[in-house]
This record gives sequence, structure tokens and C-alpha cells, in this order.
Amino acid sequence: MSWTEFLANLKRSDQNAAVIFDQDEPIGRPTDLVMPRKRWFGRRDLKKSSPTAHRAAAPKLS
Amino acid sequence: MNTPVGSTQEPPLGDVEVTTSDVERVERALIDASTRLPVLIFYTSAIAWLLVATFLGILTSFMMHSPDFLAGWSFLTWGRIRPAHLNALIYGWGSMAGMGTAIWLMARLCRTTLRHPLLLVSGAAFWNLGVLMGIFGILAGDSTGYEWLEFPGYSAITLFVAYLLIMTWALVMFRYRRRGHVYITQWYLLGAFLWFPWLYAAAQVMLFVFPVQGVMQAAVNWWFANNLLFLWFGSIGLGTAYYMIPKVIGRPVHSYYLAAIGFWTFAFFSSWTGMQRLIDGPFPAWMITASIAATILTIIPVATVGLNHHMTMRDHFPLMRYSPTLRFTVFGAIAYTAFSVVGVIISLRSMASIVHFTEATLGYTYMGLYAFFTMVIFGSMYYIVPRLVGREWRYASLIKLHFWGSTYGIGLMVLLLLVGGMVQGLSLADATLPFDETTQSVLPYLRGRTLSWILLTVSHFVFAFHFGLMLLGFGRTASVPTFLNPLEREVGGGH
Repeated sequence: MSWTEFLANLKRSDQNAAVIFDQDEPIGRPTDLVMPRKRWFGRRDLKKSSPTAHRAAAPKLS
Repeated sequence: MNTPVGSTQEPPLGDVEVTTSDVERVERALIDASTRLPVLIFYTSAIAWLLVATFLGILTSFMMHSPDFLAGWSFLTWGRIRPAHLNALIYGWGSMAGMGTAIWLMARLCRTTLRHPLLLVSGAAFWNLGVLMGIFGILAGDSTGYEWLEFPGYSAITLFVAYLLIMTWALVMFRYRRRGHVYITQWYLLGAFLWFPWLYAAAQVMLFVFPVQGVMQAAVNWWFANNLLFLWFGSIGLGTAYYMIPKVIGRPVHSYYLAAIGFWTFAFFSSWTGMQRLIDGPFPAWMITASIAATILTIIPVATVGLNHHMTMRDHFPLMRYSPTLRFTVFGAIAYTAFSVVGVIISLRSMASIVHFTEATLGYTYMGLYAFFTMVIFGSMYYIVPRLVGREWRYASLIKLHFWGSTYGIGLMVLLLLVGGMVQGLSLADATLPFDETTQSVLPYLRGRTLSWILLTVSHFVFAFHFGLMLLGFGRTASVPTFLNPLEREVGGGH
């Protein structure tokens, strides 16, 4: 591998680091956030937030 | 954002506009569907072995402070159930669950549907047979007596044949991957798939086929055991974390350079470790010193990997509230750093002279095998299984119970074994103390360890039950797939 090729490969690092994303699951969109908002760490946050907003944010789990 | 495919590359399909995003979604679904059978076979077998290992583990722990328990049955004596427990954990649970995750990740990252599934199904069947024969062999008194290599010869050969089938599949998949970048996770997984046969074959040949002489057998044994932890479980665990963390939070890995440095230094230094477990033994000084130096130098990959994960996660830690995958994986990644730091500390001659031959070394092993590797694999299973069965996990409460049971269980166990090991070592070094009193000094810690096993047992059974519900189709039917959950936009939007 020539020096030029090596440098070119190094410059592709952003592409390498982003290879697991695509248009359907793009950078900037978290996946797998399936837990309800209540009763993990954020009991205080829960009290502060309005019940309506909480119901909208949390998926219903049994 | 979504480019209409029909307008640029293909003719429109009637009135339906097909976007690139739709194509990617279907492609991903096809890849996941192709991995369903083999990965679920590996996962189901792994969880069955986890329950066996847990049962044997709690028995082992209990018998450490109540040696008369089950003393009437030869096949349930401590000397047999302890190796049976560790081998069930290593080859039954750890290796099968790790390979299940590796198979899914390889298919996803090679961006191609799974080829030759029969290789994997046969490999899983042979592997299960090998572990089953091995466990029965150990309980029947047929153990080889070498740490982590206790399986008798007939079992070892079966395992090796099974492994060759699985490794062949991995190489074929990588060969026929879709052209593009090779992601960090693939480096680690390919490394693991190639390192395991090297370690296992070398140890088997040098200990059983053409056995080396005298104390060199101990050197080979510890080289194998230590490297199985680093190069096999470590590689799969780190590779999985490098995929799960960026994928869940929706942010690329902080630095690809750091990842490359971390990988190559990990590969180079880890393979030199192992002899530090034999400090003060009848070995050439250079062998032990080289291993101590290599163990200290593993701080380089640990620091680079830890820094990379931390910088990737920066400002995204609150997302751990909402993702079981992230929660388990980040716990495992932090435990990896702690495991490596403890490994360096106990490998120093001054410290080794105290904790050598004590329970502390077992605590170190559990840190690597459970707190790091198992927790990362649990995280990956929470991510992968819904994508295989098409349903969400049924009960959030069971996920929480599993997480906290495992966290408190392994945390308590490691703490008790490390502290208990120090106390035990200091007592043993005190020449004025009768031996009876040195064993008494460690008893409270051993009793506490049984408590930690109870917590782990509960968490494992909860997880197995939840996994069973998913397999039987009792998972929650989501209105949208996990990766399109509307919650993501609300929560992720703030970051």
C-alpha cells in the first residue's frame, strides 16, 4: 500500500465509523428505546413532568 | 431524507413510491429473518446451559462453607461440581451466547443474508453434544484436571469439530460480504473466530496429544485460560459493545483511530498474558516477567477502548433509562475497564504474593466472564431477540428485575471475593495464625457469596422465563417496530 493510499484510507474514517447507519436508521436517531419512562432512575423527573406528556412519551408495557 | 427509489433508479411500482429507506428496511428484515433459526438455537441452548451453570454455581458456593452438604454422592462432590459449573458457564453459556450474537452481527455487518445455515445448525448440535458429554464426563470423574480444560478427550474433539463448522461459516460470510467498509466489530469477531481454534488446539495438543513435560503443563494451561478470557470472550464482548452502543444512541463511534489502536494493541499484548498467574512458581523469571509486563501494557487498549466508548456515550447517558440493551452494554463496558485494572493490580508481584491462591483470583475471573462479557451479551440479546421473533419484550418489570438482580449479584460477588481474598491471603501469610483460623477468616465472605448466587439465580430464571415467552410468541405486539418507536424522536431529539 502506498503512502497516498494509506492517507486516503485514514481520511475515510468518518465513513468507517458510520457504516452501521443508513437512511432507515440514520445518525442522530436512537434505536431500541423500549423501556417505559417511569420507575427507572427518574422518579423526580417523573413528578415534574406533566401526566399528559408522560403518557404520550411512555410506551405501554404490561 | 428518504430518496424515492422509483424516481432515480427503478420504474415506479404502480402508485406506491418505494424509497431507499423502504428498501433498506426490507433488506434488514430479510437478513434478520435468515439468521432467525440458527441464532435462536444458539441462544436457547445458551440459556439452558446458563441455568445448569447457575444451579451448579450455587451448589459450589454453598458447599464452600457447608462441606458436608451432599457429601454422600460422589458425583456431587465439590471437586466435580466446581469444574462442571465453570465449564458449563464457559462453553455452554458464554461461548454459545457469544457465537449467537456474533452470527447475527456478522450477517448484519456483511449486509448479506445468512449463507449455509446448515453449517451453523450442525455446529450448534455438535457443540451442545460436546458440552453435554463434557459435563457428564466431569461429574462421572473423568475430568482431565486442567483448569478450564476439564472436559475429557471425547468431548473436546466434538467441540472442536463443532467449532470448525461454525468458523467455516464465519469465513464464508466474510468472504461474500457486500463490498464496503469493514466495521470495528467485524475485526473483533473475525479475530475471535480465528483465535479460539488456535488457543484450543494449541492447549489440547501440548497437554494431551504431545504433552509437554512437568511444570510447563501449568504454563500452557494458564496461557490458555487467560487468553480464552481475553481473546475469545474479550473480543466478542468488545466487538458487540462497539456495535450496540453507537447503534442504540444513534451516534457513530467517537474515533476510528482509537478503535484501531485499541484493537491491535489488544491483540498483541493479550496473547502474552497468562504466566502472571504463576508468580513465585518454578518457572524462568523472564516468562513471568514478560506476562506481567504484557498485562500492564493491556492498559493501552483498555484506555483507548474505554475512552472511545465514553466519548461516544458523552451526553447520551440518560438514554440508558429507556434502553435495556444500552444499560447492560454500558455496565459491561465499564466492568471491562474495572476488570483490566484489577488484573494489572493483582499481577504485580507485591500484590500477587498476597492474593495468589486465594478467592480473589476467582473474583477477577468472574469480573471478566460475567460483569463484562455476560452483561454485554445480555444487552445484545435484548436488542437482537425482538428483531428475530418480531415482538417486543413482554414485561418491563422483568427486564428491570433481571438487570438489578445481575448487577447486585455480580457486584456483591466480586466485592466479597476480592476483599475476602485479601483477608485470606493476609491470614495465610501470618505465620503465627493457625491454619484453622485462616479458613475461619474467609467464611463470612463465602457465605455472602452464596447470597450473591441467590440473586443471580433469580435474575437468570427471570430472564429465561422472559425469553421463553418471546419464543412462544407471547411477546408484546408493538404498533411499530422497535427501531421506529415514536419515543425515540421525543427522547433523542434533546441530544
